[in-house]
Amino acid sequence: MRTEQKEYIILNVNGIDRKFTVGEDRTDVQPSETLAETLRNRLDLTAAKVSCDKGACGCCTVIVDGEATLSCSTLTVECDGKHVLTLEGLEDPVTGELDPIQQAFIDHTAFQCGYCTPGVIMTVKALLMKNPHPTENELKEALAGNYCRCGSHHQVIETVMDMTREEA
Amino acid sequence: MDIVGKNVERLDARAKATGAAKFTVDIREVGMLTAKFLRSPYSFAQIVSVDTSEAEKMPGVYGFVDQLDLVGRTTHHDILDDKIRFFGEAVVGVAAETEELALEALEKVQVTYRVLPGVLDFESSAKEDAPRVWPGGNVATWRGASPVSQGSSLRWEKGNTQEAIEKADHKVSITVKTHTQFHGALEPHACTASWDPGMEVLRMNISSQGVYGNQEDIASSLHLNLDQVQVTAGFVGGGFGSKAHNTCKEYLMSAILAQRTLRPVRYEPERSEECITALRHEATFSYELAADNDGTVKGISMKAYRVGGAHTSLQMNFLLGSTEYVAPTYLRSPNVCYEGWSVYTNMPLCAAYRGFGYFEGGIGFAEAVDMLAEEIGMDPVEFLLKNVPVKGDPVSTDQGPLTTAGIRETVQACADAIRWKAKYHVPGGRKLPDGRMHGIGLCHAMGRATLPNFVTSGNATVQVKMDGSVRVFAGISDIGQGQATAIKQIAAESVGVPFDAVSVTWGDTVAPHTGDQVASSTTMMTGNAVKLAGDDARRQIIEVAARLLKEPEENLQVKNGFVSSIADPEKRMPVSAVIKSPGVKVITGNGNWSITDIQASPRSLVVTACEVAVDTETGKIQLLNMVQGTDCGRAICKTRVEGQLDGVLSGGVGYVLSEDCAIDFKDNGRILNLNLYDYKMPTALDCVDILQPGIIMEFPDEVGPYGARGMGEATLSASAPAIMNAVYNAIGIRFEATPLTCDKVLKAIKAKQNKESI
Ligand code: FES
Ligand code: FES
Repeated sequence: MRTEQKEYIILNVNGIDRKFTVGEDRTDVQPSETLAETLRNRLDLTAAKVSCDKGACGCCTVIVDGEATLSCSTLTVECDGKHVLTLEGLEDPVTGELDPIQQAFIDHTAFQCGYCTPGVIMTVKALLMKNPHPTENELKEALAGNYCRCGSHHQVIETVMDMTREEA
Repeated sequence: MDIVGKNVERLDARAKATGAAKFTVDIREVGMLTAKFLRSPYSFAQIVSVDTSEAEKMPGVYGFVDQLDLVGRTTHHDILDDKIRFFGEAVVGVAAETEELALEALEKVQVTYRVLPGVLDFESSAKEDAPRVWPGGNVATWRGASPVSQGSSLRWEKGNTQEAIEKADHKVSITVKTHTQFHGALEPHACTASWDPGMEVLRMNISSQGVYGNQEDIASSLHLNLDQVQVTAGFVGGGFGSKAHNTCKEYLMSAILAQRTLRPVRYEPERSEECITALRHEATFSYELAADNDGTVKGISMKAYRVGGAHTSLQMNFLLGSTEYVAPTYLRSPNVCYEGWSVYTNMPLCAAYRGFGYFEGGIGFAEAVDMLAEEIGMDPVEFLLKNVPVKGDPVSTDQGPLTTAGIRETVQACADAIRWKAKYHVPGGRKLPDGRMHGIGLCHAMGRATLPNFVTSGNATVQVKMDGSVRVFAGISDIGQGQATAIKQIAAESVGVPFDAVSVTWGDTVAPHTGDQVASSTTMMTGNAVKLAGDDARRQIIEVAARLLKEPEENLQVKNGFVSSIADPEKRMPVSAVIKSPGVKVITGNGNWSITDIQASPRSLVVTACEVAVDTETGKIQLLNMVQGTDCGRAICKTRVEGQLDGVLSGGVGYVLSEDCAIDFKDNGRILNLNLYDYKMPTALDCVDILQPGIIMEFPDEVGPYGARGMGEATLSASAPAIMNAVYNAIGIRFEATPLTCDKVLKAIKAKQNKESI
């Protein structure tokens, strides 16, 4: 039996501290492991999707310390001590109450296949955390890195503009 | 109607907005292994031997499968042999505990190839002495691969086209080359496979548009009974045709790995692998069109030359989509002929792609129509209005009666919405204040809306349960357009229960056969089957209730979960009480629906009108305004029709303005931009604010459930030609190739300027 002390990191994911050892064993987070891999494969938080795996499509967007972050291009070890928010974390686990953005997406059907949706909602969330009433251009700029092959951009922009206006 | 036609909440809305929706790539099972594939560095080669002995010794590596294991098995309508036929084709698969281990194992595998001379494009494949991709020859036909000397893949004629064109007052001709496009579905062609030795069932999740085709291919290849293979496609992250009748070799190999290792196996292609899973291949189309002085079309002749890729797959169907959907269908003409070639090449699969062949075929056609109108001196919209087919006209190869009734009205509505009359001008006739040239274009596109009965029928079962709730079983996929919700609406309407009382089992081979989710056919094929099943269940509910309420059957109705007397609605009982009554427990309704093209020819319809600005200094085309319109018979839910119309912003606009595959024909047909940053798909920044609200016309279709007819597939297809014609209207240059990227446009502008200055 081995007794060596392992290095570890702690990530706060959706409000819960998660501790991972770092190393080369299967149970360890490897230094080369991406945040997307850790979220999806170790925590079964599969909302954030990997589509291009190269930082081009935005499907893997989560929020790290308040910033929209491409989890496919972020190393897990870099997130030590940080707060990670994923789409799963927007829903109140007890009451099932949704974030207003989620509710607006449902009410306006701002998606088709929904594969890009987790990344799109988290990009919008990060924007609204800083800027609750963005202009249409600011919103489009923020979403410039989110592909949607079904072509739901139009509904997304309408939905978010409507929602932020309603709230204003 | 209580539920059909209402803007209901999609049944998957909450799942998609919360991340609860599990797509194939999200499925994890205990003990699951990861499959990875070694891919061919050659476009054509025979696999002489595969040596996995070194890799087998690695701990955590569980099993292998290679091309030689596949010999004699069937997929893509071909019997596989010991050859690989395109660059990047899977040669060896491994299943290991982790992705890293799997990749390490593949590095230790030795493959001996015998490289063969191949053919990469149309010209090299269509030569008599060209190397053959398959032994029969390089030309695809309905009978199989055939030698070039035997002629074209298909041809058809009505009337005497050449003579009619010669005699007509005006004639035009044009040849247009269209380019290669990635489907770009954001979820790749992923699968999971697990063999249950106890139940003797292979269970697979596949990101698929057609679970039944996958089931057939996999069951026959693995020598299992059809129902020993269960394929599920719950949430599917887009498909656009690429996942229709596409049982990737990797799916077969993953299934074999699952059987060999007795462990669940998952396969998730990387984007570079995904991009070569299926392509819209390049093609060339030649048109001759002729009309009389009054603008009546007299003759249409079309020739199509398609690259068909390495497999039979759907290339003949796709060629048919390129030809018969367009030439004998888009306009009325007494004389029409088409001839098509689809040739095998050592390139990836030719898969279906939204706008099944007519997307590309329609580009040159619409340019020819525009030229002909100009030649006659007629406004292009007037010309369309005069010549588009009306209900009852014979269309397509079978010349069945068209059931789409509102083509003219939709063209007119889109023309009005974009203010065509006020804005149309002669080519090059309007300069914008900023110096750019303004142009306007309007085109229509028509696809199928059913599949013929020799391809499939629609089937569904509806079960009414003891609490009055209903489950619909219909195995169709829902790749994003909301088909499952449409099924729920139709079932609620036809049984007579509230919308929320209905649950749907979709995307699963445990449910009755529906065919693939293709060709905008789901609304009619599955929709009609669900309606018939619901009607059947309602009839049985009334039969039982008649005894209980002591009321003749014909006096009873089912509405909102209650059976009641039509004359005296107070006399009623809940559906649940009917089902709970002695001897019932459940009521099952069945529906089966099919049709042939000769009986009726419902055609999906989308019209696009757009305005562009062309910068003659840079060659940049900017879309200023776009209107999308459809006649969908009846909208089952307008929000979803609008959503599909908006889909044009990605694959349609992107195709003409930004998307292009860089293919290295000197190096095995290797595609150089197999990623999403060198391959440019439009984003929210590119074109969102130019789109006007979608125009939805509702001329009920006699064939459709409640008059509805699908329209999603056509949604991209009128946009590309509308942009091409708008660019012509702006700068007077008729482009004979796509895409219209800045460099190509600028080059053409310079060439024109040079010519004019001589
Ligand atoms: S998967 Fe991370 S940006 Fe595409
Ligand atoms: S909704 Fe399908 S990719 Fe965006």
